[in-house]
Amino acid sequence: MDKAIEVRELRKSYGSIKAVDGVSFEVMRGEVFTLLGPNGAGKTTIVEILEGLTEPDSGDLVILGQKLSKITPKIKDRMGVVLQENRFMDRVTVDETFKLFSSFFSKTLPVKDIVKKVSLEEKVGSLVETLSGGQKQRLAIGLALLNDPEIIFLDEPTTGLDPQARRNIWDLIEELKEEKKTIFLTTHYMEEAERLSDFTYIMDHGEIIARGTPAELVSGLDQDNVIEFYLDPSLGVKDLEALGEIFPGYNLQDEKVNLYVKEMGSSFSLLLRWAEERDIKLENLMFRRPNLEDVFIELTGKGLRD
Amino acid sequence: MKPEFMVFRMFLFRLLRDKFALFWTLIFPMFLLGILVLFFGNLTGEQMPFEARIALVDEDRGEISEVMVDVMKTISAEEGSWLLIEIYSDLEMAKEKLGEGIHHAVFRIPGGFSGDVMANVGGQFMRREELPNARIEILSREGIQISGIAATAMEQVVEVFNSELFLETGLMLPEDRIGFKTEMVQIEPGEVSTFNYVNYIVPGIILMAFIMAGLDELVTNLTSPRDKGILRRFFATPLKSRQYIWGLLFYICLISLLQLLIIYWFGRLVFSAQINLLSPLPLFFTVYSLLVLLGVGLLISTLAKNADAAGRIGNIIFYPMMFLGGLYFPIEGMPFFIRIISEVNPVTYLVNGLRDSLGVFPSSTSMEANILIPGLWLIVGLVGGIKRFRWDSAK
Repeated sequence: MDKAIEVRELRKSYGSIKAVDGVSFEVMRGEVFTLLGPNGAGKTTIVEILEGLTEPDSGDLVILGQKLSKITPKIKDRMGVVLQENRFMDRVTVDETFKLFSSFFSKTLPVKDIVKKVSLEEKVGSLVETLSGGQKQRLAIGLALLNDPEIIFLDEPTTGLDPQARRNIWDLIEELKEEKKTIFLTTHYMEEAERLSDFTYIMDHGEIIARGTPAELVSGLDQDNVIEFYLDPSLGVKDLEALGEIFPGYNLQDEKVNLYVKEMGSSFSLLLRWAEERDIKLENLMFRRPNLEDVFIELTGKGLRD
Repeated sequence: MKPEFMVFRMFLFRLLRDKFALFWTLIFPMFLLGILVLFFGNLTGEQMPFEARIALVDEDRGEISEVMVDVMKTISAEEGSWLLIEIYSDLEMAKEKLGEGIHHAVFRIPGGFSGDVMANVGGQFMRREELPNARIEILSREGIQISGIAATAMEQVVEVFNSELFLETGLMLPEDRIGFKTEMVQIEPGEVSTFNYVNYIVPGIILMAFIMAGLDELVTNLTSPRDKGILRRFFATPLKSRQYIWGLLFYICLISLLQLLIIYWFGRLVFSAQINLLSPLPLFFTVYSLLVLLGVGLLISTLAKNADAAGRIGNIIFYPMMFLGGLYFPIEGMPFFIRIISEVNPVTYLVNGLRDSLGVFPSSTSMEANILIPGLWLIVGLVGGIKRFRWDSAK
């Protein structure tokens, strides 16, 4: 498979803050590549460098086979972009916005086809400021598809959306995936990465801390199950120490406890005995498989949304 | 469709959907014109008399010269007279006052004048070569139109003397009439010698509209979308910043043209303004003024880090431009520190040039200055602005 993007030793600092610190990766054509990490990890900085909105301090970039020191208008002509925050001119309709952006590219697909793809047919004559959050995000994706791009950058495309709107966006991205578009996705939602991603890099503090397919990353935990519950606020330190002796790899985030276990049955019995001995209630108890958030917690000691 | 045209179209649609902006753009200039004319002009269109401030130096003090001086003093003393005389005993002092702009012209009666005139009376009985030339000297400031107009007016005064005192009575041959020596610019026939406030204010309102176009409309539509991140989205595409700016400039030029037509026709139809913008020089100054003010707006947008800063810089420049550039009333005679501001203000020169080219009010600054000084603002603004414009707010 061809490489759509190659990045070597990319660096970018803002004053004394190293936003991107020596990051290297490759994105293959036709795959959904995901940068997963919490807010402030450096994901948006990387994607803005690739979009040509920011210049790196150093590093090598090869995009669509061209070695670049700067993202040129010719390369932008082959890319589609959904920014982390998409703002549009007010007092302009959806149709006018599409036609405006069409004029920026050398070749575009018919506007009505894109409008249909992003399900905005009923809103073509509406002013952009009257759209809901989900509709605006679909508009943003539609604008990114106008030039039938070879690479589509989606920077946190579902942040701030309600669950239904988020699912609609996921469905749209999955359609693009089936069309073998190369998609560069950034997100801090583990579920989004697990659902959509072919290959994931996990980032924190400007560095890559793990890479692989979602399945590979999760299997790296070497635990098959997770017992999750919320603690009683009255729990004492000695009780927690006792829990740690039974389950050495447990993780506590605020009041949520994750126990990573190989064998569910025996582990649950041990947990119940520990709780009964101390008259502790296990709130919101659930059993699940490990996910990318657990990978992140394992690597950093904190959650993706912390 | 070219991106510049689509950007232009976007701004046009936005304007048509904004009632508030439509009012300010299309209605407010008419409103302001009407208010100013009501307060400072008058609706019947009566013309205010022209005023010639003359320094009179009588070095002769003979019979004829005293008659001339008495007649001029009498006219000057009349209420609302166009002629305002001040007598000086020293020519150098009078010239100094002319240079300071206190007077528009110096009217000098040289020593021996009365004798020369009397010698010409009955000159038809004498041999021609023996007659002395009786001459008045009229001094005016070169390059200052009002000074030339005053000098012309004084020439007419001399002609009246010739006609009334001597030619009508047959005491002097026409070839022996009192002559005058002038140091002045030739005045073309038909030069306006009366003042009409409506004609005066319409160019000022036109320039006000252009100031708002350059310093408000242009600055807002560059800095506000930049701050909101809208331009950032545009420039994630192949769109170049100069394409966006040209589209915006075309839109502003169209709006400014509409405003100009509205102001012009409103002034003409409602207040009987009589100005011809379509002559070459007024047309040049009109277009030139818009370009200069757009250049200033572009410069502000480039220098300002964000929309708030642009607003502050814009206000610092906007108010002096509007009120200390002579748009609504003459600023000659203002205190020194205000004159300093007006001398770097491009609007001062633009409105002087426009009014002078229209013939509604003579320019107190030279035509070269009226072109060159705003030109510096234009070059710095347009060239620097387009080259250095950032589509992203400074972090």
